[in-house]
Amino acid sequence: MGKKIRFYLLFLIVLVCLTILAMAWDQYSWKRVESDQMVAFQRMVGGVGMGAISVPIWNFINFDPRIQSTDDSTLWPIPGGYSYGPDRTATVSYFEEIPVNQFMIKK
Amino acid sequence: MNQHLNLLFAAFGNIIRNKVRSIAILLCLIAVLFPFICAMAISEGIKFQSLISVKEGADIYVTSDHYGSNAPISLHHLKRFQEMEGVVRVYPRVVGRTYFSNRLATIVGIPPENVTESIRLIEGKMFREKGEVVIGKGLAKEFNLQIGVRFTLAANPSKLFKITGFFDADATIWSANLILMAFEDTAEFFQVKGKATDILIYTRPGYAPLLAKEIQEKSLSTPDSLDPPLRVQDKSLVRRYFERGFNYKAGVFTALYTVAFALAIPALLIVSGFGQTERRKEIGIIKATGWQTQEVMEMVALENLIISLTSAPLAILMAMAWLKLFNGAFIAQFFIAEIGLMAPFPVPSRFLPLPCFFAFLFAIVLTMVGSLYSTWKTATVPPVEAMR
Repeated sequence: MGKKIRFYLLFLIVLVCLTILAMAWDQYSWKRVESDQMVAFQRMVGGVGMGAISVPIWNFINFDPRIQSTDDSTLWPIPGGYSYGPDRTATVSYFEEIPVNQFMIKK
Repeated sequence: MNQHLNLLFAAFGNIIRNKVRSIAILLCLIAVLFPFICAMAISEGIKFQSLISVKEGADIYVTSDHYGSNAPISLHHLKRFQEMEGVVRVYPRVVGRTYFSNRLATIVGIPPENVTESIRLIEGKMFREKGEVVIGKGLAKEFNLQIGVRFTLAANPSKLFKITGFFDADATIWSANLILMAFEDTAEFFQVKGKATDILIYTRPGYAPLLAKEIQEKSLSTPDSLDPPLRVQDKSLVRRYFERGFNYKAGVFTALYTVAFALAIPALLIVSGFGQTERRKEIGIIKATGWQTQEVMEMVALENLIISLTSAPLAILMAMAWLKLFNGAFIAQFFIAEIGLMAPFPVPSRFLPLPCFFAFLFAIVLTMVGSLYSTWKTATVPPVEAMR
């Protein structure tokens, strides 16, 4: 067995061990979450948020189906058409609400 | 055993000798596996947070049903629910949306007695008095907000708010753009008095399905009532939302990725033509020195195994570094909507063994398909022809 082969073999063993350790550490860090801020926050608000979206844009169903279980974005602009919600994959178009400035600081 | 070990060392030797070819295949595999692992990790991370939301949420959610959609429920139902057997706690909640400048925000209103001391804020304190709000880190960072700032929102300019604290970014992805306030404040802000978006009911263990049924039946059995019918969602239904929502989504992604892989196989087959002449000569020489076809095949299979064992862990470690250290910059927005290039909260990512094993499996299938047939074809022709 040549020196280079030995080195590669060692590298491979270290790489696999490192990956397994990193994954184990990740699992452990998620276990700690159980008693952490997420639990306290969700307990306080009664459970808010379920989907992979940070705000309820277009419709609430992608954000949290408990709040609105119907996908009302399918009702317009083409009734019965496919959903335009941004959280739906494979959409070919993206219509966005036009944001307006509604923030006023009072001194 | 010695023979297999020797073949393994020969495979290592081949990989080291053909550096350019090996590095090209490794990079191709890492490029294919990296987004797959990132997507699976983010999906699992959000799934975990979502499960906490389901577990820590109420046992029953009651809303009104207007023309088939959830609608605000009258608060006069509260007393009736409180008196039902098995009910531990009942409270109303408002979840709404409004624009905070040009950023969409979620507004949540809860009774002040719900506020727990265990909530950790990055700055300030929880709301105590009328008009006080706690704001998510995403909004605070984007608009450079400070504790004590007073503001109004266009949905109701007469309602004045005062910021008392900012949520910890570690809370959840849904708290980044959230404004939390007292229930009474949300009623004033949205100008809907005497109603809530939902009433949350906490029950003794085992009572939830029975109570949900009872509430639903009572609501439907009084058709002459002026109240609209109620819509009742218990925890088992919410769990079904969760399971269907996540499994379907992850399933769609895996299906799309499998198609991409299926297309990558012939592509790699073509790419592996790079260095094919050299490979043919190598096989011709070792066949001429007395190697059997099955030994050649075993050596190539071992080469693929080593390449896959190198590429999959490298892709996993790179994905982990990108998601944990760089917070999934540029990538996370493809999987979590409305977060922009840089997420204002720690992107949840969870590296489970199964998706990582799938990544290794994909790598080995890809390399095997790309090399075994061509090797067998070369190994079965006379060595002189292979070396030509």
